[in-house]
Amino acid sequence: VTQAGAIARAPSVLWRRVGAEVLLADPAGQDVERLSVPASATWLLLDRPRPMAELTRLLADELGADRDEIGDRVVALVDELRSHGWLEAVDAGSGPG
Amino acid sequence: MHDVPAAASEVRRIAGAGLAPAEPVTVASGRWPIVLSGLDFHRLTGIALTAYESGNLVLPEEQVEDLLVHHRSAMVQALSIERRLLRLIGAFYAAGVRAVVLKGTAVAHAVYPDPTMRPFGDLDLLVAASAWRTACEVLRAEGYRRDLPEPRPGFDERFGKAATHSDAEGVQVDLHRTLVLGPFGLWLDPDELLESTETFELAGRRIERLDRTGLLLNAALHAGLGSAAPLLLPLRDVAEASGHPGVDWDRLAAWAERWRVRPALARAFEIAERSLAWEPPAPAREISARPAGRAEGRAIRAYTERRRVGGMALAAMRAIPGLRAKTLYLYGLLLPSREFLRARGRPSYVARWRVPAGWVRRQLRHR
Repeated sequence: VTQAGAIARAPSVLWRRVGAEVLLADPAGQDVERLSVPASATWLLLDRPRPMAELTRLLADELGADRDEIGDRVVALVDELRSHGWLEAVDAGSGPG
Repeated sequence: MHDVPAAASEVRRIAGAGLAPAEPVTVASGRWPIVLSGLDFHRLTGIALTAYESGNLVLPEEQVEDLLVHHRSAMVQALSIERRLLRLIGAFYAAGVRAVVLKGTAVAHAVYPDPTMRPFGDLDLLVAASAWRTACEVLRAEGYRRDLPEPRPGFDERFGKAATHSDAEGVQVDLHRTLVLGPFGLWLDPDELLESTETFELAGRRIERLDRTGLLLNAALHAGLGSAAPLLLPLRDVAEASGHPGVDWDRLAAWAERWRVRPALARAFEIAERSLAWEPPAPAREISARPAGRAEGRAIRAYTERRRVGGMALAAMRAIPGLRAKTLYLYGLLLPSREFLRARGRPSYVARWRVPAGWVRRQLRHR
């Protein structure tokens, strides 16, 4: 993700919130993925595309953590969700994900 | 056993939670297993969880965990149905069939503040009568098997409400020609409903559903006529849909008059008010306050009082215009195909005719 870029939910994913956790389903697949609490918080905060810095700040507030301390873990988490196709990088000006 | 009525009352209060200001619902720990099974039965786990999150339901941590387990399972099912919906909509589109989503899936996305509040266990799709055959063929090609054959060729398009199709995993798709069985389903005009649609987004695709006025009509007919004792979730659908600013009450009132469904709507509003301690909006009260005609009053009794004694078939026959059409309807009921008889577990016409003979006997006894 470049400085000008943002992170968004992949639009082709089916999902539901169950309490603090999120269930994701690939329309072409068979399984339903149950996200961890931090991954669920990330998904829920991405109600619109957000730059990494903003996402990190919001997650730090949400999880009551120091943003400098969680920065690397947020990057790793976003990378992992992107590797599954759940999240994607978009232009910062893109519409809601 | 003495806890069952108290548990039922708690389930009802949870079903109406958040609709009007009220004290938060608490559940005695000894009653929780019964309440939880009631929430499952009425598909209210999403309403309960939302009530808990907004402070309208007070639960200890272990009960919240129980609720999350049950609701997770309901949402896995909803996602699996939405997966099928996406696939089917693509197949219908490819075959040139326009399919409009009804009931649970549609209200979850269009009426509730969050679709997690509204579980659903099957898929309901409305198609025009002219597209009925092609739609059935699409479902067959997609691996769905029709649960019951139609009584006679052409019966579905003229008189039917819906045909249930199941896939190999038992997931059901109800293919609708109209919204409800019997006279009210015959009086309303599905083609006009199909002119009043909007879309919702699902996995990046626009899916067609009835507009919010149509969804309220759909929810109210289902809640008011679907069964003698409706589940609480369809009643909550009526309350949620009635509160949506997108409802065109003038159009609903005009439909109610023209399609003679006013007593059915009135019944739905009345049961929802009584069951959920919900206050219907003024336009709903206006619709309910108008007196029912004699035919409509007789029709509503066919659903509520005489459903199991042949009342529905008789009321439907009265609602069918023209002698020729009435004869065709009666022919389909009395002389259905052998395949239909076998599927209904009545392998002969003699066995089949025991049903109407029983009606006649009961009718005579009632007089």
